[in-house]
Amino acid sequence: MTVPLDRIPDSLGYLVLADDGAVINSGGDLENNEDIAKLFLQMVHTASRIPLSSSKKDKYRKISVVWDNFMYVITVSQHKVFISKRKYIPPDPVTA
Amino acid sequence: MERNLDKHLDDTFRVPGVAGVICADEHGFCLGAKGVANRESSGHIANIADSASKLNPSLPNPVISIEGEGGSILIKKEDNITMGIYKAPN
Repeated sequence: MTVPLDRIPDSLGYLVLADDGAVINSGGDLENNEDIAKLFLQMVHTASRIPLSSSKKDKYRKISVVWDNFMYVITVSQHKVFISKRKYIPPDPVTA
Repeated sequence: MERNLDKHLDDTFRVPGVAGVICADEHGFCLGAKGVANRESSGHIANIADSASKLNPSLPNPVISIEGEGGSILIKKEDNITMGIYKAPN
């Protein structure tokens, strides 16, 4: 099954990793970037050890790493790590 | 110095929607924690901020957001200090 990650709006690149860190699929800015893949895997492992609330069952759904004009969005599903690099367009502040 | 940090953490904790705050040094040692923040998470929070800054070493440190159903954490490293803000779900 192929996941159309390059069709995500404002996508700059994507990476799909196996649970051992092997690159399954990649494209755009992140094409075959194995060094960055190791860092993402490390972050996914660390994030799973941080409790988000008092309930121990609560697991994270999504990690975002945000700079001024782009962001990485990371999620885990079916023993695979999905990473998307996207343009970051901050929402306009709401003025009352 | 500790009093300053404590006041800063208190001020942040009082912001509506904030469920907890945690502050760690560059070694992951917990400098302060309030609310739902678990002092034992300080090492992981400092570690994840460190890994994220290595993704693009030429850029300033990013903001990391870890989101789940029961809440989310915003993490940012500034100089040698890493700060985590726990938010309750909307």
